[in-house]
Amino acid sequence: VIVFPVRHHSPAGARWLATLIHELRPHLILIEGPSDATPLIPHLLATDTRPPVAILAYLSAEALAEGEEPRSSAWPLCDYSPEYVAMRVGHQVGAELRFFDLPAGAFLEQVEPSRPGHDASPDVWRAIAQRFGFEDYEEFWECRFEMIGDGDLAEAMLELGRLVREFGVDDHDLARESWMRAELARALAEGYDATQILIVCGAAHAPALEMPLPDPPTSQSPNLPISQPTNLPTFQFSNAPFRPAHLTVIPYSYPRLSEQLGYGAGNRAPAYYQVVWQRGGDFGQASQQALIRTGEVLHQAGYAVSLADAIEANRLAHSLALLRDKPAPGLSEVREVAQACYGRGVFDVDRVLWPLLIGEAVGSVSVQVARTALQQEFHDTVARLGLPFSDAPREHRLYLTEAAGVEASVFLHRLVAVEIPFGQVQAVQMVGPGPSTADASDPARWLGQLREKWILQWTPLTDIRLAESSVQGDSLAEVCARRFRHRLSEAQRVADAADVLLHIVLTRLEPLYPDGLAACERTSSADEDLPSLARAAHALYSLVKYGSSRAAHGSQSMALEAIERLLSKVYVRASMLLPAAAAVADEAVHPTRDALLMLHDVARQSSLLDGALLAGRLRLTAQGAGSHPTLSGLSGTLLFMSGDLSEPDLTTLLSQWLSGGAKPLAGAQFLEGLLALNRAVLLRNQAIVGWLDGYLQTVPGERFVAVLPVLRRAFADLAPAEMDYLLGTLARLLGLEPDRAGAAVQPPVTADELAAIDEELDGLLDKL
Amino acid sequence: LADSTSIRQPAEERYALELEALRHQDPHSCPPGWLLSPKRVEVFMMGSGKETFATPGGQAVAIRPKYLGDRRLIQVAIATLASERALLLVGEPGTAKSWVSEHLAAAISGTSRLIVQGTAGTTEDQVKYAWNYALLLAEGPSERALVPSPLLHAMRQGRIARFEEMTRCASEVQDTLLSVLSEKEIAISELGQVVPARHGFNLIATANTRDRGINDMSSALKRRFNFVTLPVVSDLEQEMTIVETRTRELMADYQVQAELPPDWTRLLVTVFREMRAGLTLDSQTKVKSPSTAMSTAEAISVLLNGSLLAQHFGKGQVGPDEVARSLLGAVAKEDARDVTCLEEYLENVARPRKGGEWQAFYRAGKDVL
Repeated sequence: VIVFPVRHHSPAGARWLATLIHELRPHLILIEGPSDATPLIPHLLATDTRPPVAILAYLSAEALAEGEEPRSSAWPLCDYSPEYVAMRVGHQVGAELRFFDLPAGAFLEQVEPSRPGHDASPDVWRAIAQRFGFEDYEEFWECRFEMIGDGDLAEAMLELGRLVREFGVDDHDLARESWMRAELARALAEGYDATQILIVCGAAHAPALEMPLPDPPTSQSPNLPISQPTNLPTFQFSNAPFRPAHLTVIPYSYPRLSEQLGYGAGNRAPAYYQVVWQRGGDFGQASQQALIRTGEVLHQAGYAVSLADAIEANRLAHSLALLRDKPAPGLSEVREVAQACYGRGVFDVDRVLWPLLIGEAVGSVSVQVARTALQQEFHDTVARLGLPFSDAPREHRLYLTEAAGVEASVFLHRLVAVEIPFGQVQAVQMVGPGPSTADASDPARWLGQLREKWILQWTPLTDIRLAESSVQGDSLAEVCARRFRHRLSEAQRVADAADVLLHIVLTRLEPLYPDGLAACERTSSADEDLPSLARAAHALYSLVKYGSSRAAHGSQSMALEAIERLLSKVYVRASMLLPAAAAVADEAVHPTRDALLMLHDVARQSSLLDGALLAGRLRLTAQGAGSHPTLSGLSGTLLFMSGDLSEPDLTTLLSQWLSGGAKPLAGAQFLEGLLALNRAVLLRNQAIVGWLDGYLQTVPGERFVAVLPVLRRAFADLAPAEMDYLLGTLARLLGLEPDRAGAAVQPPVTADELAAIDEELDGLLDKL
Repeated sequence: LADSTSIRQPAEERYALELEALRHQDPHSCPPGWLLSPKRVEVFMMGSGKETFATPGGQAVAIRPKYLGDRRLIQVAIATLASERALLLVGEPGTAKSWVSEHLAAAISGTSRLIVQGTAGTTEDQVKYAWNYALLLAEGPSERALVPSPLLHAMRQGRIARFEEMTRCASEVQDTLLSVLSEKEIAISELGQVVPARHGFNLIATANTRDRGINDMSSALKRRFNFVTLPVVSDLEQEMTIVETRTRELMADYQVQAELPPDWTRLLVTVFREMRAGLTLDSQTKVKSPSTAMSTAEAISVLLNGSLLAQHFGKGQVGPDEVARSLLGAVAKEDARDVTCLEEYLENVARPRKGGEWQAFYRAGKDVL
């Protein structure tokens, strides 16, 4: 038996192995990889399969326990993975090809199931590198193995494998090796000549395979060939139970391959090593190409980098390699030299260089490969709608006035809802007026849009999650519906239920409308939380207003009435919680404040709702002694803005909070709430500014420091125009020339003065 | 020549024995004009650990490390000097740019003294050559009347020239280097001569990122340099080692005999790192950074100053008073507002810290302020 130890994704290993197979022409090649994946080998070798690809194993719906997260594990292969080359060349010379590691299901039982390959920890790799005088294992590997030239790679690898084993071998590895040995024994029992069997496995496992074999299952086989009898303990095959896995082949990508570092099976720079592989292991050529290419990219980006620089960089890389006793410049030399020769001490060349070294290549998988229904649906839809498909972020705009745009939007929203990583919706300028407090992540906002901007990026994880999710249904709509039903049944707050309802509309799952409405109905009756009710009112109002633009024809009218009924119920309940709900501690002011703003917006915009109800309640909140001062101020300004509070009423309110009898801190907080909105009007009002002035003069000096932060918050974001209004009003009030008042209070103009004042204030605030 | 009465010996004299041992039986090939092979230059810079080298006289010499930092940067610097291009060392003040430049020059050419000092007033004459005007008037242009610059010396002798703080010079003066670096020759038109550079000639320039900086360099000149950026020391222990080693060397130079307790070195380096980063080491408290560069070199000079104070005015041992007094002088150099930085540091960071030194430092600091 000939054991050829490899590292996954190693150009040198692949090159050596190809030569070896051509010379040896083995009858059977046993390759490290899950043994139940052997039937996939023809697919991997199909002419329309293009690496990087990965074997993906996942558990079926039946195999998963109740409530268990789906799990999967991937075995990536690229052009120069020795395992892949063994298959390709082995196929050419007519060898039988088999994977001979534990079945994939066994890997899925691991704590970190997505970690195939040999499992030594990063510390072990570093310790090994340091033993040979290298700081970094990757550099050690590159210098001593990839650049080995005419040295004996197999011998060096075996040595490395022994070294790794000195740091300990865990039970999982032992179980794997037992299985491999059993598979080998089985092959021998089948009658394969030992000299005609080639084994391709990770270096760490190689020593175990050179040990005596156990008796084959059919105990009648003749003399077992024993390569090196040793007195190491014989391995017990551990019978840890595992569930059978489903297996398929998915496309993989270079960016993901480079992320797999850390356990010795990764590859820092897949594109760079691809060139090394294509050039037959010539690192000098590969490094030169990388340096020239980086120079070009920098040049195109507008940096003064010329071919002369590239030549100089290449020369420097070679002298650096010489100084470091390396046969040729490798990855580290390329990086350091590029920084020295192109960087000019100013910009970070690595930012340009790394993406080039990693590459963006995405593999493709033969049409013969059976995909899960979800994968099929995903790839078909992406192709049909012409969505960008690459492992780099791409911007894509959808116009919802077109049928294709709507379809793509529904598709992408469904993917988001079932947590399949592919697209992220971006904030777009709002079309038409919208709730002032809505942010980009507010789904209610998307409803009103006629276009959407997405950032799309396919990664192997997309396919992995698709395969995993196929246990939840056979179509995206089905999986999505299942998720939504689950969330609806879990929802405690009406805001959560309304949020799901919004998503149901966005993803066009009309059959779920009744469930969504029922859940909103159920939760709304018991919910006593003002922010939750307000958010629900906001969501429901958006549905009433824009919902029809998203829904298919005919299905809407019934639901619309129900939603209107719900909206008015939620609105009434929310309003009735005031003013009691405004009596909150400082920490809870922010959510309550947002709730008031949302409620006010909804009441103003919707003709269905009784605006007077909220106005009455806000009035109680403004005057209520128990209300938080900020909320009281905010209620005041909301009422004043909508004309529900007259100027004399507002002045009375101001006198309550800002007169000498009230507490200074409460006064400042009240001002913060009052000036949160509608400032231009308030600050032009002489009576109001008069109260403000009076208040500031009555705050005792020693208390001023305490109210300063709050006041600063209240006035910090005044726009220049608002500041002007304030100064103008103040000047009239004090009987000054408006211009002179301006000059007296104008902020200092020089940067130095500003800095000094800023620092002083900082110091003051730090002391608080 | 410097002798024992000079304040400071240049690197090639201070480490004459090490250089002699490294030159003796150097198994690697030297670039033309170099006294050491690149590998041996690297050993000279980074130290040899336990390994020793024999002098021709048979004495075993261990090489002390000159640069305590990233070996890879030094390798790039050495490889650059063996190439067509000149070397530009870039970094914050006090990141050992001149130190590295001096020791590289000493190792490669056996002299670190062919220096042009860059200032705003540096003229083209100082970079290329000047004349002895008495002789010039008496004899007309002649070899005898010529006053070569250090750069011209370096070219004639095939050695490394150094250009300190190059970016402080006017761009036109900097650009004088263009022909020197690309043609490797200087034309002395008055004599009708062209002086070619001999093998072994190259240039190490340094540039400070706090000065006008490398942005003002012409791109033509930039293209003739490889840039190596020397980083601020990233690790407390490493910076302590540097500060302690260098201070002891300087104390020997200045013949200062004072005790240097490691606790105080640690405290001082901690203060420097925290003020430099604007954040305490545990990332809990913000610290105001003064306008002075709180560099490693500055820490060394504070400690040296402290040891001088200790010897002449104190009890012969560096303690809280010495550290606080020297620190104030170092921090409040450029701007009176920097004193507030120190004051706040004492109040907000030093005072709450447990540990005798911090408390002693706080009290001493308050006394000084």
